[in-house]
Amino acid sequence: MSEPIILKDICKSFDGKKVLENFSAVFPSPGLTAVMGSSGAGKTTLMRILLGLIQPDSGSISGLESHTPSVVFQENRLFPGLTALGNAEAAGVSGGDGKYWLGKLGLGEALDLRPNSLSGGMQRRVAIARALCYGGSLFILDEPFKGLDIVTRAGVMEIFRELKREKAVILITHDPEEAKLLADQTIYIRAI
Amino acid sequence: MHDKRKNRETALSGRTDSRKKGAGVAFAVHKEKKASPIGVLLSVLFWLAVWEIAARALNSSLLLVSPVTVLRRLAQLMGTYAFWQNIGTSLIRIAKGYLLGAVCGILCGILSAFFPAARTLLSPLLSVVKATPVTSLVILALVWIKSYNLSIFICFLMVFPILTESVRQGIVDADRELLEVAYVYRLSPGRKIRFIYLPSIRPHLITALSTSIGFAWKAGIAGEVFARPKLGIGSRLFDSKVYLETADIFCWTLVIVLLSMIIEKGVLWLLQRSRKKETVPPKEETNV
Repeated sequence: MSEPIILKDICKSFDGKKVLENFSAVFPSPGLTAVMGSSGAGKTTLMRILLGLIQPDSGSISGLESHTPSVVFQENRLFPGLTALGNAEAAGVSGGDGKYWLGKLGLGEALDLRPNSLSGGMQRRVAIARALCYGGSLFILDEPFKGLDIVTRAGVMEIFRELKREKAVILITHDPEEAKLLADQTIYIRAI
Repeated sequence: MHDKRKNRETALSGRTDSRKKGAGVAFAVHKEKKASPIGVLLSVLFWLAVWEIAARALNSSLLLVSPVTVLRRLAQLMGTYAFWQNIGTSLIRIAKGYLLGAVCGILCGILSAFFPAARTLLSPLLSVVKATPVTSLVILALVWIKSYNLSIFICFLMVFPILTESVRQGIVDADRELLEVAYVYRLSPGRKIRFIYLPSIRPHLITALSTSIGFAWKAGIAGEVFARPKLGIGSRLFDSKVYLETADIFCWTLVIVLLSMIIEKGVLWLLQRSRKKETVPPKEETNV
């Protein structure tokens, strides 16, 4: 079992504009934490800090070093030259077979299709399959249900419910219903 | 703000008033139709007729020979071993310079994309080479290089800056968002190159390789005209001028033009054909 991730007094500014100020939170592992807040409140900045894509200006983070992150970005960010299966397995397989996850997400017939032949919802599912295939111990999901129909959404929710029993999951969402259905705790970030 | 937007719309549509009528939109999406083969043939025949009429009007084989005379002379030359030997030698020489320039250009492009110091170091050299006329380069190079190798060097100088810039630009243009994905998922350098950098470089590289082959060919022939090696199209072109063999000048020029077109199309075809289909990455490679 991995350590919880503890953020203490995190500050981050861009060109003098404060985005996060003295932000503190504990993300349990295992467990699912929903992060909510208005647009521009700093949810994506928080995600980028957790992924190591940017460094906070000040504050401390502990527990992160014991985790391997898997991510679903707000954009699908698929490799255009690879098939759905290629994308799912692009990062190497440890969390399971790409075919298995794509099949589970209803894309069993679309394994050989490239992103430009897939609908927005299908691309989203490939991005989710990639995160599941990689099988990190910390899942950071930025609006993962974007573009998914109700049935697929329910299936994906079920996968995340299973996931949170063993791993740390951070769900960034605007939808209180999603948070209510999935989250063990919800953090609200207020815009500064 | 409003004015800026209006100006931009005007630039996109061509004219503000025509856009209002809907004509601007038509202008923006207008696609040029490809000329029909019959149309091309007719236009070639027209210009050949103009040439024939001009040759007859001048009535001087020294000043202007007729297209029929040129074709007859070309047929004669094609029957000789020396004709093919000259073409073969020029092709080999220019290919050497082209390949050398392409390899060095690709390497320097990669270096200058990843190491700012390399870019700073190469920048003045590339600027000078690009700005210097081919004739100046040829005359300068004649001082240092043997006549046989001059064309190789000139071709190298034509290709090298184009390839360096294009490869560098291809790497710089690589999708930042995909690079972030690669960082988070700890993609190996090999996978980063295959999935992100190569697709980004490929269009730049195809354009650069197909454009620079034309430059290399023309500059290489010009180099031969100046250096006059024993064998080569440029040398034969110069001889024809010295001996006032106007038909031969036209023949060799025709050969240069035809070969240039064939080589450019050939290189483009090869590059497009070599575009590999990306496959599913091997499963045994695990990054976690």
